[in-house]
Amino acid sequence: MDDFRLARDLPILFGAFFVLTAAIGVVRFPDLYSRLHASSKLVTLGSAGIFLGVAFALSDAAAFTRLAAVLLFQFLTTPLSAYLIAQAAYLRGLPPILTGGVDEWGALGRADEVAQADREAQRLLAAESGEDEG
Amino acid sequence: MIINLALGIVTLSVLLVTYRVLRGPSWGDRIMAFDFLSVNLVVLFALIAVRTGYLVMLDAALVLSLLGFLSTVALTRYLLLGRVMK
Repeated sequence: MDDFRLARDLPILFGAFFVLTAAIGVVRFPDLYSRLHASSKLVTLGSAGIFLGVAFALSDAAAFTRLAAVLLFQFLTTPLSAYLIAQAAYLRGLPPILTGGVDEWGALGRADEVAQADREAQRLLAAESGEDEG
Repeated sequence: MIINLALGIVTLSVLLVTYRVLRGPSWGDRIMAFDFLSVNLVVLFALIAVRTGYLVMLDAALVLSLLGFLSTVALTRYLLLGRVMK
């Protein structure tokens, strides 16, 4: 390891470890909600580490701005997509395998009512815009 | 070299998650694994940019992260509401 550089290699190793841990969690965990936990949280940390190491390795202003944009976008969207997937699965009625939780919303599997309300809202919106045009 | 090791590790994780995309018992697992796959490919592109010196790969990574999030939103919206846009 003659060309080991601390600022470049330590974050990349850290990030690669967490990305691999997240992949193992996605493969091995028992149900969707625990898999989402592994994929959303660990991969955010892992990709942050790898982007930091890549920024140090390239040490270029153009590369740094692109990496900062990707990192900011990942930080904004990874929790959001995990939330969307969990919400869709919950409303479509996928029960969690792990027991002992309390279903406070009580809407497990009631996606049709949500879709119905959405169609109603779309209809109202269309009617309103039609009135504006006419 | 650490970059090669990291490339190997991330490629292994891409293969592991591809198993979950193909296997995944419910569609939610497939969407989740697909989203995770796009994030993994973004990381892989950044590492390839370091390994080969092609900085264009960083632009590809930016576009791929945008497309991955957009496809996740579209798939969840379609499966929950039955429509993507209007």
